[in-house]
Amino acid sequence: MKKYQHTAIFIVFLFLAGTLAFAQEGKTDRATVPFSDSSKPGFIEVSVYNGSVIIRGHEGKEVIIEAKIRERLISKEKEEEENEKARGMRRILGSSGTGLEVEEEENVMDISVSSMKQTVDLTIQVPYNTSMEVGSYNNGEVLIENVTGEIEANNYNGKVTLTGISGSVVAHTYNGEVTVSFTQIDPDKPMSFSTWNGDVDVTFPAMVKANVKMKSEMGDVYSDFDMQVKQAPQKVVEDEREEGGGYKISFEKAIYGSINGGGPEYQFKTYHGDIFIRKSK
Amino acid sequence: MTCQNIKELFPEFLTGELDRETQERVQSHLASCDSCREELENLSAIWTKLGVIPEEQPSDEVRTRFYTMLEAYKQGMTQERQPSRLKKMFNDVFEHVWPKRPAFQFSMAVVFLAVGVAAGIFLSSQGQNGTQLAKLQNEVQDMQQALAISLLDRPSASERLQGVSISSHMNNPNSKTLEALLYTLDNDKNVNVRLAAVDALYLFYDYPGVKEGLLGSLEKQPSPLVQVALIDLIVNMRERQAVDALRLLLEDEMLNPDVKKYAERGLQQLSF
Repeated sequence: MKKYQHTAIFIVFLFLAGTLAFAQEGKTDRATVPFSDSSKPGFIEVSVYNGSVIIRGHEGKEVIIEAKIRERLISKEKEEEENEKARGMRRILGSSGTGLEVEEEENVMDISVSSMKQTVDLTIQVPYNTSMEVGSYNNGEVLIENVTGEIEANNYNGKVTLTGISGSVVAHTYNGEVTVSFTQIDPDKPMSFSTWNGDVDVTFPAMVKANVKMKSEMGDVYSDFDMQVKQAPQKVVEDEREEGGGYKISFEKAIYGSINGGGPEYQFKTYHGDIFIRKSK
Repeated sequence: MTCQNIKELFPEFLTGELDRETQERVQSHLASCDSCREELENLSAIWTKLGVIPEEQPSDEVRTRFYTMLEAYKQGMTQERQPSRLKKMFNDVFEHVWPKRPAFQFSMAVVFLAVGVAAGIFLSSQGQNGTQLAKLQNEVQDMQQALAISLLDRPSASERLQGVSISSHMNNPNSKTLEALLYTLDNDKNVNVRLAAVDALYLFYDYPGVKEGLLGSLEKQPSPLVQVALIDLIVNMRERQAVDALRLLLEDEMLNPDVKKYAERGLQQLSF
């Protein structure tokens, strides 16, 4: 019962904050929400359909969320031109603001923007120790800075940039670069970085231990790590054909290697782009 | 008859090779001498155990080492006709130590036997450890399978990746693990986890159901990266059904143009 109260309180709080903010600034919603147990690291789940997500670690114990409707870039004239029927009329904005919704329950905070039509950019400040799952789809980048934890970052049309990360990362986008730079890594967690159109560029501390698998269909792989290139794990193929039938198994073009003697598995993949695995200086 | 003399007769006594008179003498001595009786009991216990100890099969490594040693020894024999001074010294010492009397030789042999038996018992207990180890390994593998399956179901992508990684290192995954991997391949919301699942399943494609699962997954994948990884794998499998799966994929009008090219190239490779 208690946790429902929590959730309810935060939702009410948010609507209040939202309307207040809307009254003052027009197109920005703000909310400050604490985790129910601030002594333990929290988890945030962020999802936006249209827009950027920027997340930064900060000193405080609360999560500070700012959702802002992005101004349309097209001019008023053009907009009217596009819509003949609306000539001589004004567009009336609803009072719902950004459509930001926040729910918190047992240290898990769900932050989402329900609007499909508007482009809404989210800027979120979180305590340094926060794990997260962040997803955007269109019209924006995913940028995460200075956090410690387990991070899953997804985008579709836009880049994914993570800097000053301690912990582990699983990152993917379709159109855009994936750039990640670690200050420290969680030595036990596997990681994965992939995109379709764009480079994968990851910087690790010099002491990182990992087994890496790298594959770029159209590009190349670069690294300044002393990498031990290994044979790909082979499938033992039992040839059940008659004699002379022949069996050919062409091996995939992925490169397998180990850094500093090997460790958990890290996967790097792109189709159109290069892969860079850097040693942090 | 002294105890020493009696003890020398133990082996024959145990095998029943003594004449009746000597046998009776030994028996009467045993009745009066506690220490001899004890020793005989020990000896017979060892003999019984000898019969019980399972034959230890030397491992391949021991076998090869033995043959290399034997080979080296043979070579040494042919090369060194003249025994070296060291060897001579050793022989002298050995001759000195090795008793001339057959009785003493025998007791020496008994000592060696005892050492051998002790080693045998030690080794067989090791062997028992070996079976225990195998059992333990099985249990560990069962636990690993359970762990992998539970990890594949976690909300955290990193943990799900870990689940895939653990499964891919199994020697002999059970059907539940494979089902969980196939489910992950089709349904995991994270592209990177699905990609890792393709690689893991590739290692097990000759397990029942895996091939079909992989072929069927191709049309369900929304991500071009996963599609390309699956095409690679399917082309490598060189199955007849692979052609159908690729054709089906190519019917999709929304298919990414790069994936389309990739699939067409795959079809060409398969038609050779």
